[in-house]
Amino acid sequence: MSDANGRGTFPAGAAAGAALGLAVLLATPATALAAPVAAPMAGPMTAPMTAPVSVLHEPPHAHTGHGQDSVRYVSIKGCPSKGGETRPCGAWRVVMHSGARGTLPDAQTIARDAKGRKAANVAAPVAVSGNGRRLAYFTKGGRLALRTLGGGVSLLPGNALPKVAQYETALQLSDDGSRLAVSFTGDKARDTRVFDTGTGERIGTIPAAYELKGFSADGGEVLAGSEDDEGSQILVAYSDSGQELARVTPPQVIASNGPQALSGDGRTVAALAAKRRLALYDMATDQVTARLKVKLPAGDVEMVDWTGPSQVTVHLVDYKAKGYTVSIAQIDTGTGKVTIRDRYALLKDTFVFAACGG
Amino acid sequence: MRRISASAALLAAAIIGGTALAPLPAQAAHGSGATHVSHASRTVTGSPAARAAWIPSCAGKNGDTRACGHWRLLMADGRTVTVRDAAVHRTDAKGRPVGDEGRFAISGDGRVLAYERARDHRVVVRAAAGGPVTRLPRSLVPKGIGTGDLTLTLSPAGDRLLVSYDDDPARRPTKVVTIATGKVTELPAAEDPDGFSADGDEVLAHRLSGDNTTALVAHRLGGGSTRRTPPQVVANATTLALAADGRTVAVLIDGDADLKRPPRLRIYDLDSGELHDTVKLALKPSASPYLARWTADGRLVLTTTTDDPGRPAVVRVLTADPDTGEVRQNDRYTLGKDRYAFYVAGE
Repeated sequence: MSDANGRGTFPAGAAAGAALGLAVLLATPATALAAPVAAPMAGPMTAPMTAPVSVLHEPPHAHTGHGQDSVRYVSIKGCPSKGGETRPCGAWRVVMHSGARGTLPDAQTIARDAKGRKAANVAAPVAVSGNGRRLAYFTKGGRLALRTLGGGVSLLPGNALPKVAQYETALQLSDDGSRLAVSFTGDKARDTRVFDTGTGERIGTIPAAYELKGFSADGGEVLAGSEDDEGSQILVAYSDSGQELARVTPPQVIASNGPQALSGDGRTVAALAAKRRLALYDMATDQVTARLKVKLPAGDVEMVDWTGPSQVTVHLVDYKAKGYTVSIAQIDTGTGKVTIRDRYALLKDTFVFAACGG
Repeated sequence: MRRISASAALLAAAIIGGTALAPLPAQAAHGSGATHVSHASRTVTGSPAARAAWIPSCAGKNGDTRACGHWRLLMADGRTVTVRDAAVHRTDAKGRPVGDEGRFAISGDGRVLAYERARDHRVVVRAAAGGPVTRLPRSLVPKGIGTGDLTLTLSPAGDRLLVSYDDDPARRPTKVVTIATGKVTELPAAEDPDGFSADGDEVLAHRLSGDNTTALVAHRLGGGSTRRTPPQVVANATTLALAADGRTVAVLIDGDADLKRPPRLRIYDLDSGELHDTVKLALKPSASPYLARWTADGRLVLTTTTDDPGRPAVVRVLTADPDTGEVRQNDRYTLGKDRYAFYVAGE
């Protein structure tokens, strides 16, 4: 049930709960999220952002460390439109770990096509970093923006992306928010672009033929996949600047159990086999090095990410009639022990949501 | 780039009921006496081998088509023989005939037939050249399923028969019948058969595991089995062939006409897990073999067909060298466009 952005989407006609009043976020002493957008920068971002960006110095997986609140998910409501279909309406709501809520008033809600016209029923892309401290989205003016909790908003240069419909654009942030990958899903093949979110600089590209699977924990590596000319799935590890590190035809247990995730060591791939076992595979030696028994909570696996040298985090969404529950489970890759890091119900009127990671 | 031997160049397409067949090529000269090709070249005695069986198509009610008439055999020497006692239609679970053709199979060497009998829908086995039928146990078609739910496959020499069932969710185990003795053994219920080994003493099968992987198993009918989870390319293949050694698996990879890629071959060793490098087959991209079996002398017999509705079906039987990918055509024939269905030797 995920679209190209790894977001959850709901079938048209999902139960429309009572409209929620949207409170402006006042969670932390840091700058409120509704703060005005920083002045757009004309060229490449050469100067540092105007507000301090503390997120880059935090430990990669400190979701609730140091008493700082973080984003659990962003959600947009659906409203019926002419023709009976559901379309996104209202602003993106930001739901924090503490329960506090705010909005993203500057974020584009309905996806625009390459010419800037609104597409009818599709939400614009939004991404949340794994640590819940950074968000990526398009502004209403069409610029790609990075918002940091406790910091401000910075805009990528106007020419950072080719003219592509927002509904053919997918955003993915690394767990620590330091890297943003933008991939394109339209008919024309375009390379994936990787940005340093601190400087706004594009640091690398991944060839268009490869589907991006995700970043390693610290964003230093990227895992991508494709198919070889015999119909087998192949995995390729790149550095964040697009340098190829490893290329393999993995065994079935890895190939058939996506989404796969790459460790910061640039060679170990984790895959969840039927929610019962976490398989670890070494790309350098072509060996499955572990098959750990794991006990995971109910729900469909939406994301698998390394969040530390020996930790894999799994996002599960349990789709039930009464509501959708997100569980975030951390797996110790040495023992297979599972710890539930977080569990929450989505706002009942959610039409589209983006949880940590994408 | 196909290299065709001099005698193969003399080969004319045999159209059903039509022209004489040129002698089959130099395969026999290689001393591979066990293959059906050398047997079929003995045109003097009248061929005991069938190339294919087919049944005509008629218009049914509602504008659809159904099988009708009688089953015909196209023999290796070009004769046509009618199989009068083979069921024209298969049955549903209640035993009622349906429009689809009755079940049929021909051994790889073309000398043995297995089919569903018209009068009682029991499975019988008979020499292609004629003669009395051997009735196989009634238990092959148990109560509650129709013959439409089963598939028949003969071993290359026709001494054994596989009966597999498609009646999910009941999931009956595949049965292996030794025809001479009537003995029936069963594969594990979770396994789907891929076919007999070259000498009929092993059965290749696969099963889907709980971790979304497919395992390949070679069952030795004398006892024991070898099981492995192979690489993706083996698990993805639709055409596999197990050699008489019970461990060497030929893996056929389809060609791609759009990308101009010919069909390819890889050899997988089920005992060691070794996967050999890819060998390109000297075939057109559109000519992906759908049947393959090993010969006693380590070559592969491949069958390709075209089966476009409203046009004659063209069947080619080829021998491939698994080391070089060189391909030699042994036989080529066509079946009329009024066919409802056909089964070739090995199917």
